[in-house]
Amino acid sequence: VSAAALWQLGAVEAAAAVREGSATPSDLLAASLERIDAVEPELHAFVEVNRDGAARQAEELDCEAADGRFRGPLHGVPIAIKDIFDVEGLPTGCGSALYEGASPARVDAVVVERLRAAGALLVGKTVTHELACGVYSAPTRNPWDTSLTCGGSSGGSAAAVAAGAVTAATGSDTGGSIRIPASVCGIVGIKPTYDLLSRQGVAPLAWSLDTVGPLARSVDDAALVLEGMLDAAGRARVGEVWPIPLLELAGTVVGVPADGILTQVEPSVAAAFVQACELLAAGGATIVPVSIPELEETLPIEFAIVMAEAASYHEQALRQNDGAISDGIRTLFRAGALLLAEDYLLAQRLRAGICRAVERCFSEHWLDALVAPTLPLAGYGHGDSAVSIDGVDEAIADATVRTTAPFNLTGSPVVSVPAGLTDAGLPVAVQFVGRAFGEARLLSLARAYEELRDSRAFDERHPIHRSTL
Amino acid sequence: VNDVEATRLLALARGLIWTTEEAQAVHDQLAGIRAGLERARATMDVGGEEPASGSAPERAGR
Repeated sequence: VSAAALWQLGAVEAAAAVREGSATPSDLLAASLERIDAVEPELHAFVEVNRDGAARQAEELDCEAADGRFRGPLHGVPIAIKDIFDVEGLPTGCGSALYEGASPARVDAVVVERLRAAGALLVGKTVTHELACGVYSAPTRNPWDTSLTCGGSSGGSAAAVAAGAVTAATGSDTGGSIRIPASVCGIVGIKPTYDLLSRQGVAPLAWSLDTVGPLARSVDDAALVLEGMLDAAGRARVGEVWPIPLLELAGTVVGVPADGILTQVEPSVAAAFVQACELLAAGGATIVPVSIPELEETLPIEFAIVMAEAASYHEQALRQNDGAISDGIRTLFRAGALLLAEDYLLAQRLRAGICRAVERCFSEHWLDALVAPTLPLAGYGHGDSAVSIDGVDEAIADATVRTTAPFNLTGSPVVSVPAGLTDAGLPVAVQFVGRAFGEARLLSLARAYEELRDSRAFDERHPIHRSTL
Repeated sequence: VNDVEATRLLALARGLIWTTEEAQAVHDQLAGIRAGLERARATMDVGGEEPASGSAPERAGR
């Protein structure tokens, strides 16, 4: 395999290349760094590229591979880490002036430790929207169109993966922060079931909603990285998620929202979604229209919980240094500091109502999964604050979160998969929502869809196939 | 004392020193969230129900 092609390999291919001896971890690192050098001046996806640390790690992995010893399924695979996860020896900046000059972390976050144990080669840390609380992730740009944002809050991770700088990356998702950037950057994002993966060593935004997970360029690649992030307790709950179990679409039942906030999307998104549903039906899945009116109430519930929990976590900063937090986030956190306990508890009780409604929908229709557009819109600019969808004006933050946050409230596992391009050539995506801890079956379904999809136009325009952005 | 001033004083009592303009922004944010929660309560009728215990997935029926 030539060095020029190595950065284009997915996680599964890269791991196989190391096992087969056609590439060493150092080869993969060199290719990744070469790609970073080519795209990063325009992409701005990294807060730190850990060249020395990664080189030392690659040498160790090289020696082990040469002896036929492989740490785990990710031996030598280049991966980036969102800058809210602790990585031993590197500061955790959280995209915030609050943490300027922070000391290097003394230990890895638990999932980072797991990735290291699985053999992952940690290339660097990626840009996050400030405090993981936003959908822009400046200064990172979208590799499909560098005039647009990469989404957020795991925007640096998504942009780095989409551009081929790394094979995969970690992200976190409190209201959509893995799925939003995955959708606008044309890659796969997995938000696992709440509590499946440890959050220890990951800076919280709102701990009753926060979930960590992988971003990669295919369902298979994302599943492999998820497998590497699982500990024994997690694996006991979901079984092996990679290799992804085979699934016959015939006999599966997929719920499709018939009305409400999951259907209020731009025409280009609606067209791609209809096509996805037709493909699933043609593949043998039974498509069932469903209605979950309770989801209309998602936004105030989500925001009340986020603001209260974030205010609690950042209490000291709010008292002593809140000038270091940017205006919009500061106002949100300040409001959280004054939110009454009864308001917070009302939000949690309403959340329980949404959980019951979604569970009822799954049970009544015997659903294997619910499928919906990941986002109601395609790409948006750094300066865009509002959008008009279906004749309704709404804030970008509301528009992006209203289709993703319902499943943070329920804690459900979700896989976002690219579903094609708009006429303007921007990616759109569909999300598959499963039952709690049903990751293996959900990934099977997502991959079955991925295989059915006609991705020629998508592949042709993908940044991974361009030598520069 | 109007609502915005009350917000500013409430913050002050908690050691948070804000200008009237800052208190206005927080007041507006809180008012929007509370209105949304009340709308949701009217729609979903959670009155009288005890919150479920456990993690979100457990509440989702597992």
